[in-house]
Amino acid sequence: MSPTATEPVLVHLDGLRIRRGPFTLEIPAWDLRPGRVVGLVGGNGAGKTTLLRHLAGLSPRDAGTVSVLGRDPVRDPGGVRSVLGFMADDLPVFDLRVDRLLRTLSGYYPGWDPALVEHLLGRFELDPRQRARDLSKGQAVRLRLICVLAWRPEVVVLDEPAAGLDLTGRRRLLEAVLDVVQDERRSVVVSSHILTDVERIADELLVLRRGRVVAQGPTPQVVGEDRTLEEALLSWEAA
Amino acid sequence: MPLPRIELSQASGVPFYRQLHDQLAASIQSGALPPGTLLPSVRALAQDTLVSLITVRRAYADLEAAGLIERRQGQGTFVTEPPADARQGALDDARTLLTDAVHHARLLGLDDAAQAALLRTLLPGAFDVPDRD
Amino acid sequence: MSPPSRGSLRGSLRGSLRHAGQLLAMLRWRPLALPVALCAPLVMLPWLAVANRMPLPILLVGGVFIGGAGQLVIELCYSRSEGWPNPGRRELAVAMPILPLSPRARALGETLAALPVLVVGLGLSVAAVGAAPILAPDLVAELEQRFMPTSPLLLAPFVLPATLGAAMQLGRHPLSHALGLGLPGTLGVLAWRAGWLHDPFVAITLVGVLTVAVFAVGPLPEPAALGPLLPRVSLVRAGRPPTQAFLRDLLWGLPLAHLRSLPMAAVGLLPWLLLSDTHDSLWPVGVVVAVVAVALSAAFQPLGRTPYGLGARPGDTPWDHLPVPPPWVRWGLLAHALICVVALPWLAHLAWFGGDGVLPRFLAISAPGIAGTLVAVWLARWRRAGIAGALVLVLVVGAAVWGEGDPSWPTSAALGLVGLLPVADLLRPPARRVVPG
Repeated sequence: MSPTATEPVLVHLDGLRIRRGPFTLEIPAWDLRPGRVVGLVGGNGAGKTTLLRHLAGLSPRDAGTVSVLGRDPVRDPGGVRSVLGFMADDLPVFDLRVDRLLRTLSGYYPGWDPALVEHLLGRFELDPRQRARDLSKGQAVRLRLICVLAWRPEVVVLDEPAAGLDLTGRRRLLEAVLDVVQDERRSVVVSSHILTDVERIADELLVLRRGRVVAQGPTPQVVGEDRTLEEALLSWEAA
Repeated sequence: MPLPRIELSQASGVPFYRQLHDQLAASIQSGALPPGTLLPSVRALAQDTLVSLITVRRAYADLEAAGLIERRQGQGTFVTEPPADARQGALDDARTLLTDAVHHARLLGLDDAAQAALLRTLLPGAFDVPDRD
Repeated sequence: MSPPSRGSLRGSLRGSLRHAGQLLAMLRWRPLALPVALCAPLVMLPWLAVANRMPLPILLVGGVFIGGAGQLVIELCYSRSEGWPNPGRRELAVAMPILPLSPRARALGETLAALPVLVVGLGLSVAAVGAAPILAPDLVAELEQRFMPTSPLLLAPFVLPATLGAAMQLGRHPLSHALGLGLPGTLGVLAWRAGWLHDPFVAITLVGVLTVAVFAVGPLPEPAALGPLLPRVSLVRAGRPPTQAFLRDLLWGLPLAHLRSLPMAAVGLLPWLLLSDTHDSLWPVGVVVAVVAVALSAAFQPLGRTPYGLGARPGDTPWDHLPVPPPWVRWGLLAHALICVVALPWLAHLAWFGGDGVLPRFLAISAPGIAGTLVAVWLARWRRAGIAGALVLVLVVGAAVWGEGDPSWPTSAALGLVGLLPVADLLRPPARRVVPG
């Protein structure tokens, strides 16, 4: 599956620089092509969340070009957020009953799919009559996942979605991610500390360390033949 | 036809693409996946086994290189039919070898019944059906 | 590849209309929020008059509270996502999910959604005051003369701080928040003082045009510059020296968290105000006040969901784990108590001697209820809210029996209570209980 010239690009980064106090994130070039799961890995303070929040139009940048399906996250955050679904475990949600929260959100997205929501509620074992505030951490993560998957965005961006999930929850998460890429036009970018899961489902990797790109490309090439992603990451961290 | 259950193990240390390849190859060779079977698409198999698309693609590519499966443009991926002339050639070769062997056995003084008994021990199971009381 | 595009103004307007529609539709699941929001303008009438008598610096402080109340109306009506408090991670003033809207569309949409509620509330307020048959004629005359013409000004303090205030923030510093909150209200009162806004409709038009203009075409701050308008009390904040963060929250965040519900709490005291001249029937009114105080405290419960408000005390988590030397905690608590006990009565005192008439009476009779409600809100627990309501009832009845009409006694008692009860609660022996922090 070598990228061809005709294949469209969902997200295009060029010379991105984001400065936050002493920390600087620099990504010379990165493209997200459709139909892929891309894993974003790196230790604490690598800049994963900084990058993902910028893609969702939640923070500005200092230099470079960023385009999400032709839209600039800084100049057109509303437009970006109608094609890119961003999920992080600490984002606020309306404190309503789960079903009412979902019904309210459905008014914002033309692509909202009620049947898919039903399916996801069942798969993630969420009680639609429960109030958002009363959900456990793992349930809240599942609810946020439903919020971002329900309207079938072209780009799904998940920032540490596995945090707080139990084993079954993680399994359901992997299924949901691979569900997205059943549609060849859609892609998922997922950051996670659970490296075995990332290695398992990611077609491509973007590895960051202290704001710099350590490696990027197809997973087998980045990880190498005779080691796991964890071992590869440890060797980069030690370097 | 449903795919035989594929179990991928994280603990085995064997890469997923290799496990996938081995299990599919075993199913094809054992006949559980007879020639002509339509295999699931890369995306569907990735979904079933919860591995990346690139892993499934790699397993399929290896199986294709080994001649076990083939991709038909616009139709999907199928278990390969062994080519008819190749099978005929193999039969002819075997016949020549066996004829030689029978000839040599006669020279050594073994009669046909003794040779058949010998063959029976070499191919256990091949004579089950015609075995009558 | 062509350069990435920016959003269109039309798309932005469409988004804001959709946002406003969704927010208004959400009210059907919030039965308590709508009446409170509708009553809010009425409550502001006397407060605006109080502000009008104050010198400019104090006026600005009053503006902060008015702005805080405006913020609260919007927060109360349209979003109550305090379930996962996440200070510093909010897109705009009100915590909301990530929506496919630009900050501009969001601000515009929230203004559009708040306006009808406030306009209807204002109309209802004016009608209620005019229609109350039990009101003394001189009181009606005074209300009509002094408050009615200024009432449309309330729209400005209510709507603008929540929207314009957000745009005017100079940064995340509490003082910038205060300025953003206080300036619109202060400007409104100043304009009224100068005699520019005698006609209510001029004021309404001005407010509407200004708000829409600012958000339709004016520059908006970068998303990173937008923080919560009112400080959330977190006690420890990333990126600050612990002692400084602790003191800031204790001295600034907590009193403000107390005070911002003050004008709204007074909603429950309206019947009291209207009936204040008929001293024969204190009992039913007292009951009404107490019940309303408890109901309001329930409505405002989310505001009290801070580690502090949930009952964390020294010895509990997270006090236990504060990277602050113990003397700081002790002195900080004392300073906090001092602010609550001294500053509140001082403000009331200032209003008290500003003139005679309806204001002192209003303050005197509202103070116990306010105090009780505040304490209840602050404690954020149903059982404690009930206790606080009962306390209010006792205080009100006590004032009626022994106070003999002298308002100073219940007032000072109530205001002292605001400061003392929470501190007393904090200093109780620690329970072995993990408090969500």
